[in-house]
Amino acid sequence: MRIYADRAVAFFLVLGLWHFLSLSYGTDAVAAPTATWQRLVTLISTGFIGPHLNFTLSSWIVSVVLAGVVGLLLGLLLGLHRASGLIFEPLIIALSSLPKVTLYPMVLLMCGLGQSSKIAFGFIHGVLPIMLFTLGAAREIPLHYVKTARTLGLDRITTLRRVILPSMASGIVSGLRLGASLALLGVIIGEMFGAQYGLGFLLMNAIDVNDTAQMAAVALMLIFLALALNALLRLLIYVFDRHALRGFTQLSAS
Amino acid sequence: MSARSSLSYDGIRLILITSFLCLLELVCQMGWMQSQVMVPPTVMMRTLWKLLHSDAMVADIAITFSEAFQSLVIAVVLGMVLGWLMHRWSRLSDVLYPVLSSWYSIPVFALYPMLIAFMGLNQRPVIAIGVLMAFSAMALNMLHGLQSIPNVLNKSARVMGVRNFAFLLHVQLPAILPSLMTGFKMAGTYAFIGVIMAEFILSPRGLGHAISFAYNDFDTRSMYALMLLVIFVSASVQWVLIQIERRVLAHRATLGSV
Repeated sequence: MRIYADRAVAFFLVLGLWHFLSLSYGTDAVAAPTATWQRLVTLISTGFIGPHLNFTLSSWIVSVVLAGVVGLLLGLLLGLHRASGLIFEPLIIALSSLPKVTLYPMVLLMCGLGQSSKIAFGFIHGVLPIMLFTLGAAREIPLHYVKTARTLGLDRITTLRRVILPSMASGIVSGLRLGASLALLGVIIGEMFGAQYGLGFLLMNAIDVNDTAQMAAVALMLIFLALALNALLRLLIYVFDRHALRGFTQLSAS
Repeated sequence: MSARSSLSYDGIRLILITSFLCLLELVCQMGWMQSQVMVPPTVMMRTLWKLLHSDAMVADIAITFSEAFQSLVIAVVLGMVLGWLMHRWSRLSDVLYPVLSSWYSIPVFALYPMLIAFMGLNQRPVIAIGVLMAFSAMALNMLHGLQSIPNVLNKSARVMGVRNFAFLLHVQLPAILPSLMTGFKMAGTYAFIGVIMAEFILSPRGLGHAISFAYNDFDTRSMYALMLLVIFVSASVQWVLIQIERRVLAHRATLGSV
C-alpha cells in the first residue's frame, strides 16, 4: 500500500515540477499540464489523432514482425554455428552502437517518402538487438543439454524444438522486447522526417509552428504508448515464459 | 581459444568488409544504382578527405565530441548517485525501478523541442538529451551491482568497522567495478547516439546537423561521406570504451586470479 502512496507522491511531484516550469518560462516555452491535457482530449475526441496513430502502429507492427523473423533466424544461425557467430558478432555490436538516425537519409533515398521507409527504419532499429540476444542465448545453452539430447537419440528437428529453443526462450523474449521497443523509436524518428502521417510527424509539425500544447500532448502520448506497449510485451512474455518453462520441465521430468 | 584462430576470424571479417565495399563500388560504377541514391565508397572517401580539410567540419566534430563527453560525465555521476540512493532506500527504488527499467523504450527525443524552448538553441538541450539517454543504464548497473555484492563482503567490512564513505570507496565500488564498467560503456554509447540524434533533429552545429544539412541540400556525396565518418567515429568510441574497461578491470584481483 505504501508503494502506491509513494508512487502517487512521485507522480504529483513531477506534475508540480512541470507546472512550475511552465509558469516560470511561460506557455510559449512549456505548455501547462492543464493545457496539454485539454489538447490531448481534443486530439482524441475529434478523431484527429486516428489516422496518425493508425499509421504509426501499423508501421510498427510490420517492422516488428520483419525484425523478429529475420533477427531470430539469423541469430539462431550465428549462435549455433560457432565460427560465423565469432566473425559477425563484433560487426553487429558495432552496427547497433551506431547512431542510426544518420542512416535515415539513405533509407529515405532507397525506400522513398512513403510508409516503407518508416517500416525499414523501424526494422533497422529492431533487428540488431533481437539478433544479438538470440545469438547470446544460443551460445549460453549448457552443453550437457545437447549431449543428453544426442544420447537420447533425438533427431535434429526434435532437438531444436524440444531442447534448444525452450532453453533459449528467456533470452529470445528479452531480445524481442528490446527490439520491439527500439523499433517503435525507429518508426517515430522516421516519421519526423519526410512524412505526412504518424505521431512523429505531428511532433515535428508542432515544432515547426511552435505549438507547445501540441508538442507536450504528442510527447505525452508517445511516452504513454511506449510504456503501454512495453507493459503489454512484458505480460505476453510472462505468459509465454511460464508456458515454455512448463513444457521444458515436463520434458526434463519425463 | 588460441590467439591464432582469433586472428584468423579478424582476417575473415576484414575480407568480408572489403568484399562488401568492392561489391558496392562495382554496383555504383556500373550504374546499377543511381548516383542520387548511392555513391561509390571511393567517392565517399575522397569527399570525406576533402571535408576533413575544412575548418567548419573540424569544428563540427569537436562540438559533437565535447557534447557527448559532457553528457557522459553528467550521466555517469547522476546514474551512480541515483543507483546508490536507490540501493540505500528501498522506497525510492520501489518508485523509480519500474520507470528506469522501461526507460529505454521512452522516446526521450520527444522532449527535445521543450528542452530547446527553455534552454535555448545551443549545446545545452543536446547535452540534456545525451544525459537522458545515458543515465538509466548507469543507474541500473550501479543498482544491480550493489545488490549482487556477496553478503560476506558486507559482513566482514562491518566486523572490521569499515563504515559510510570508506565502505563505499573501499568495499562497494571495487566490488562492483565490472557492473560499473558495463554501465559506463552503455552510457557512452547512448550519450553519443543521443547527441547525434538531437543534432540531427534540430541544431545549428555538430556532426548530426552536418548530415541533415547535406541531405536537405541534395548533397548526396557529402551525406555519405559524413555517414562514413560517423561509422568510423562510433567504432572508435566503442573501441576506446572497451579499452578503458579492459585497463580498469586488468588490475582487479578476481576470485580466479587470487
